[in-house]
Amino acid sequence: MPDEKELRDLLASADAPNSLDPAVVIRRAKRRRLPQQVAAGAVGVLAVAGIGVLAVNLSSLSSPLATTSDQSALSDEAADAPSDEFLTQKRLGANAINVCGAVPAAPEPSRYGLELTVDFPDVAPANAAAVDGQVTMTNTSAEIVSGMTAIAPTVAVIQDDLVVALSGPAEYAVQMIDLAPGQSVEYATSFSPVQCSADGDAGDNAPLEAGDYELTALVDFTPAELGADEPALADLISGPRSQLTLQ
Amino acid sequence: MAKPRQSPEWESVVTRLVTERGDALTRYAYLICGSRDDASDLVQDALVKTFGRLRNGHTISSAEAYVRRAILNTYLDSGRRTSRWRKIAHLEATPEIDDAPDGEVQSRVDLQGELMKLRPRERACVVLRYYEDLKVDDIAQWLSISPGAVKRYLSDALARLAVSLTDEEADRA
Repeated sequence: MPDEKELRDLLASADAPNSLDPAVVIRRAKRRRLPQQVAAGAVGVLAVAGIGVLAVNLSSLSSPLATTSDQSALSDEAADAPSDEFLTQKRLGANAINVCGAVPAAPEPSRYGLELTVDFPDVAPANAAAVDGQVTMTNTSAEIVSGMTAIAPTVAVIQDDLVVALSGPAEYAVQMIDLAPGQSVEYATSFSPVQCSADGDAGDNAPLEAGDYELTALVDFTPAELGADEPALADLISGPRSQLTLQ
Repeated sequence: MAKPRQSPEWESVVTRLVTERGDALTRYAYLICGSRDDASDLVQDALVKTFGRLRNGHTISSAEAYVRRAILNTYLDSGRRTSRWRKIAHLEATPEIDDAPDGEVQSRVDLQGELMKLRPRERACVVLRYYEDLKVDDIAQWLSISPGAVKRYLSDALARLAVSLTDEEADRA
């Protein structure tokens, strides 16, 4: 008849060969993490869009970079892990930063060396239904940059340093990117040359008058992996303004 | 400009955990699943499950707690819990110990063999109680069962161990 001490001794003396390889564990864990990051980003884009709508409705926002917070979470897949920590969006999403009638956000350097270039025709008809163009995101760093963005950046049309028109409703799909140093990815986009309004509805608004305008674009970038000292925030990617003449 | 990329924090926690606590985790997995061959695989699966999520800020000890729990749940939730152990338990006995004249050693082998024939949840309760030194309420929380069920599993397991050993000793006599 075994007693408790015997049982404890037996269990304490158990031994088994350890053939664990940390490299294998890390490789398998990375494969498992990526789809979650994509999903987290998609949820984040949706959540940020919600914040954006709220921000537009609350036209009393004094600063386009006013901070708010949102934390996304996905359903738990394993009962053994009680909590998740996804990238936390501690500012407005890129599609909500530039607000109609406000001063556009000043470009800031990307943590990852990403830069946007806005490429629209130099001249476009003021009465066009839409002006088509493209935004190019270039990796200006010396490192490969992997992650995801919205399927198209948000373009703002600026006159007298105020936003007068914005590109269409946010697309909630995301796009994976994997850019070598110097490599670029192009996004097709367009905007209606119509005066925007603070409530976000440009339907009945007047067309933009003929004249000179500037264009700028913003997009959020979520890295595939975070370094040890990197903040858990999507990186806001921007770039220099370009010129456009409506006539 | 982009900064030089460092390994994410979770990767260094994995490396340290495997290096510093790999033996202990494998031993724990062996006690849970009852197979030396499967123990490392079980730990690896648990590590992947734990770190294959978007989580940072773990210390080695907090990560180990998650992994231990994942080992237990992975085993209990998977097909591994089929009675494989009970089928092969007799093959795991070390031959030279079978021949040992020392009564204490013989008793230990008997106990180990019988322990490995327990049902998975019975063995889990025994391991958590007598190896991890958890209280009944804590075991109940780990296994998401009632404290009463834990007591029942422990009681049945100890009775089974005692009965089996008693029967075998009677047979040997």
